[in-house]
Amino acid sequence: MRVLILRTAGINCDAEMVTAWQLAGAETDLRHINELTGPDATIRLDDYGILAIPGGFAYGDDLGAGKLLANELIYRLKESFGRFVESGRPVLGVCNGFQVLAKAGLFGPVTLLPNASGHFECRWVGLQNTGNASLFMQGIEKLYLPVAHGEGRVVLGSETELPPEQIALRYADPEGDTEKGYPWNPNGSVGNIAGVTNKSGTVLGLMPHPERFVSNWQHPHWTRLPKTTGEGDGLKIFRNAVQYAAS
Amino acid sequence: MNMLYCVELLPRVADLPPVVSERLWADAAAFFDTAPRNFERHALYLLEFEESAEPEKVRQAAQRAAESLLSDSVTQTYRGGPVEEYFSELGRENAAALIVAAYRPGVTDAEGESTRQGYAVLSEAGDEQNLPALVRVRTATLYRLDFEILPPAPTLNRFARRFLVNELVQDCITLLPKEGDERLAAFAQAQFNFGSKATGTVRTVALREAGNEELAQISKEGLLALNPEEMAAIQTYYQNEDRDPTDIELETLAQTWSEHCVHKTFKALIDYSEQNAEGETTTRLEIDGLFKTYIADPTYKLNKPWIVSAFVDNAGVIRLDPAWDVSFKVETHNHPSALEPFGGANTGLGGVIRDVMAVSAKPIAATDVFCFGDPATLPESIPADVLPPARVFQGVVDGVRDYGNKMGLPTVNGAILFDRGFLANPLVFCGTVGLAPHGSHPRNQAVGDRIVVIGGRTGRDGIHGATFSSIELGGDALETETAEATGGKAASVVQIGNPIEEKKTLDLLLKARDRRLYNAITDCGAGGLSSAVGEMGADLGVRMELSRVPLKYAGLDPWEIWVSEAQERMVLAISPDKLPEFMELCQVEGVEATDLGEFTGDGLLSLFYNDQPVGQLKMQFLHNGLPRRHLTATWQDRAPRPIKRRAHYEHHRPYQGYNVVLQRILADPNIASKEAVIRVYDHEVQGGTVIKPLVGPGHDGPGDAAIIQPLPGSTKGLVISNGINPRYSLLDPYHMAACAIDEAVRNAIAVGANLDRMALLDNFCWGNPNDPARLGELVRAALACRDFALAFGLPYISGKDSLNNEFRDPTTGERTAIPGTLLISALGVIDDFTKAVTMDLKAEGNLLYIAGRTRPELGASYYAKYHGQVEGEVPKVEAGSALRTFRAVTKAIRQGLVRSCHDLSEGGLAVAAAEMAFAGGLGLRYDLTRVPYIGPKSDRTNATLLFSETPSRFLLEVEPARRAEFEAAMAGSVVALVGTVLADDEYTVRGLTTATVLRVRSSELKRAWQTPLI
Repeated sequence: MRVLILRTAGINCDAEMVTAWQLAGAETDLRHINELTGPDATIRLDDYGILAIPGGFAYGDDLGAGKLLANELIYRLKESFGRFVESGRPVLGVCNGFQVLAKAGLFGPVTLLPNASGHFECRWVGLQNTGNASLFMQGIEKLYLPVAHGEGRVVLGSETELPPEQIALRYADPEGDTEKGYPWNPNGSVGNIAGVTNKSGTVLGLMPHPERFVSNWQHPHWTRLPKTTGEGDGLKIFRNAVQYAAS
Repeated sequence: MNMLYCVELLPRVADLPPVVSERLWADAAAFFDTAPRNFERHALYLLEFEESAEPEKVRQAAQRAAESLLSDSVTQTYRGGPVEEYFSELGRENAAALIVAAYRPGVTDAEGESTRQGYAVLSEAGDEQNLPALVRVRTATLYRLDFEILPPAPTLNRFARRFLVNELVQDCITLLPKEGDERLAAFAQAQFNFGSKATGTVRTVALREAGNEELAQISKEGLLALNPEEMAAIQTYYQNEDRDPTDIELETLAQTWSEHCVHKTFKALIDYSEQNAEGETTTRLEIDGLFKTYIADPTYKLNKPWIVSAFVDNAGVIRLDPAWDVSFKVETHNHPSALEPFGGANTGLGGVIRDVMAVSAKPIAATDVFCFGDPATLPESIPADVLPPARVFQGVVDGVRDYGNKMGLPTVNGAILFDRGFLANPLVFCGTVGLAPHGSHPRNQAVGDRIVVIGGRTGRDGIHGATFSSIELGGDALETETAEATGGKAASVVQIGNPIEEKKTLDLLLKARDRRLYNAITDCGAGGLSSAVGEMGADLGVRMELSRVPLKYAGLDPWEIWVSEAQERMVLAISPDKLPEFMELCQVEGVEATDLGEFTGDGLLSLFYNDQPVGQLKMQFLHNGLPRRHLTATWQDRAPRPIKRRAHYEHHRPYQGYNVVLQRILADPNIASKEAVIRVYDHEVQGGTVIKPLVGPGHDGPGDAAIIQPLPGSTKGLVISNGINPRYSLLDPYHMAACAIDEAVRNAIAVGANLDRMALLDNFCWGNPNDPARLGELVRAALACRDFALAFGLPYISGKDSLNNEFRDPTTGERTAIPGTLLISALGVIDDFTKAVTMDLKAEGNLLYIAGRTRPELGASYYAKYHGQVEGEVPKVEAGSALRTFRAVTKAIRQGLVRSCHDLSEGGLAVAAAEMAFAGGLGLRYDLTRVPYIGPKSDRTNATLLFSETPSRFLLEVEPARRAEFEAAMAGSVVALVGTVLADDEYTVRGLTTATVLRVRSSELKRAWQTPLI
């Protein structure tokens, strides 16, 4: 299974995302968007089974996080991007990647604004799956992952509600309560929404970083836990996508 | 006339009003003595279209940009119009006061540039009408500020200039309601009327015939920062050449010979003498260079086989394993951060990241240490032109956050200190660790290689940064800067960073490195191209065409292009046959690269502008012509005076008293939690932070050192720690330096590092070295650097100095220097990070040991500070016992016998034990009678044992079952069982007379420790 990991100026979580996909058994190809566009482009999106957009600050978050790269997906990749999504092949956007997918309109009236706290925040959060049955969330009830962002506050358009089945993950306290405020909900997202899928469940965008918890040693207090060589929570998401795409 | 259009973004969702931050709102309420009725912030975009565009096309294009690019369709809408129309409308309709803030013309506006590129994506898509070309975009901010009773315009203006802009780089304009005039449109238009001055001018400076006074005048007026001997050497050179220098030649010499670039003080010949407290001279030394004698020589003597490069490259490099090298560099950016905290700190980190890129490495971690003025300083005690500590703090933290996070660099370790000595001269140390395949960094520039500059464009920003850092703040510098805010020389020393430009450059470089496309690389730091190209071509010679350098705007004179410190630029030597492949790679990565000339082999630096020669210097003179400085240094020993306790304190019952003292010390901003700062830095990016800066079950305990896993799948770890304590400098800089080394080492040892694979960096920040007493203090610190490097077997691999950190009050003329400060940063390699420990207590019933003896050393301690004093015996490192303790702790941790370990530092045993308890969410009981002590019997008091800051000590938590094994592992060092871990929320200390001297909830101590810093 070949995963295209897309980067551009300011994307900076690409290396650890490559590691995560590889641990999940995928073959990875990390490419700059300029290699996919223009008349001489040698790389074609159609040749891949999965598309992943890592975190970072594409174009410095100028004009709103994700906006400029979202426009490049729409105006520079053109039909090939739409075709990829339509074909039902998995698309994953983490953090900045989520912001890109949201601003490209893949989730409907969903956008991300600066955190309610007014500042960037890096911390580990509890996450609960409250009924999302997408390919990514198979067998996942809850996760423990780090967030690190300044613009992760999920906001919905005023006229519409997001169907609950499109909500992939919600921020939760250690007891699984998904109505808790800061710091459990680190950014003030409406409904504690941490991640969403598109209607068909083939596109997942989430603010927390599953690629930063693929090994036991990335856990924030592994020195307190019994010694293991286990893997981290985040790997499940990558495994699910690889299994789905391969089947 | 250009076609200028303005777009304003407006909220679409009613429950998300565009109000300013809570902090700004509170600032306004405090400043005006009444809360604003409304205070909103709106983004403005000024779009400059090509001149030939029809107004209707411009309107359509602006609308398209606003709709598809500038606004968020879910939450925002927009409005706009041609600039005069929009602003006169805005002026007419407004009910509140309006403040429009923007960068000064010519200052980097990264978002404006991104907007232009985003527009190009839209217009290239070409799915509809042909959009007119967008030439430039500048961003601005519109504030609407409303009160019940509106303050007068001058008051509003004062507020805006104090809280909304930094006048060095930004400007603003204030309008009262209904005050529609043309000023706003003119203000907007001014953004684009920049950089049209004619260029190519070269001035010749009449130097050959100048007398001494004239020479001094030439140095002063040109901000050259060259002393009489240096000016005389230059004069002799030109007399021999039989011509006068051009401006660009003088600038080249000033930059290359600046303190910042050649470290004249650390290379100077020094006559040093020491007097004892009775005034008798006890020591006389002729020091053949501080750097050589006390930093480099010990390193060479230690001759560690794993050092790849010490001192010669932009960063120090050591081996990680046979296949990989790690590099480390820490730099300061003090003077720029004093003037513009955000920009100064931002570009400080950007610069040190480039140092690591300049050894062909990928940056993998950052560490930052800041020293600020006392946050409690009263506004009336802050000299004019000095920013309040809170503002410097906020700006510096934001600047580092912005650059580090955007570069994708985990900030894993650091320190923040506050002391009134840093009020006018804050210190900003930024460090970066890099990773590169062994042998991948080339240093083989050759005759015929092309000189290629890549990355950001060159502007007038940061001209004279290198020489400016040699000039003390205050007086002239600041006056010049406010008087001539954009054209003035001192003003232009401030740089603005663009981290994404640097990230692009990094992405490109790693690819170019792996394909071996370049023969040498360096960064453009202080001195800009003049330093980078001058150094790279020192042994070869250079022929360069300055008119090819890509500029941000027209109008730079050749010398300005040559010395500009515009950020995010690197210079490479590329052989002509590799150039096409390199340029192709630049295309994909979106990095601008320009061929500027070649390395010649003639030993000359030859500069051209539009093919006309503008300057030529012999490399030999440029790099070896600087006369050596000869300085005098003196040190006067002071007899320690005993610390006196506060009078009122005697009346407290002991345990209440210590409870108060401990809580006050924990709440001291130097010791209190830095969580609020740590969390705004991404310390997890790259996925390799295996021991994080915050530890314990609540992720809020103060970790001693961070550990990075540089290679996924491998158990190799990199330990990163720091040591700094300028307070001890008030008593004796020798022991200050010794303690800084000890602290950096201790922090690393506490998580499991070992001395045999550890390297140090030294960063000195000092006052004016021409003052013999000041220089004497510096010599004392350097002596300790040698003594303890040799004693512990620790080499230095890189270092820096920042001198002249002094402030001259423009009104009183009084000079204040910072306390002499040495930051020691340690980098350790460990084979198995899975054996690392953290400082949070792990389980009830475990035993608590103390390693190392306590001496009565309360001088400059936090206990003394609590009593308003610095006097007393300064903490000293006893190398022999320290070494035994370090080795024993390493051994015990490696054998898996230690559950938690924390070093004793500021605040001593009482603070370290408290931190371990509340970080682990547990309680603790320990007994002072069991604490090993050495010193006069009369000084063995509860206070001494609780708060003495004797270095080289640790607390260790051990499971009862491992007791014997642990004690065996620690054999040969001093260690004692002093207490037990409790499940309850309790912190109890048994005193010397067996009574309980301290009993308090550990959660209460935590609350005190979590007092906000500012």
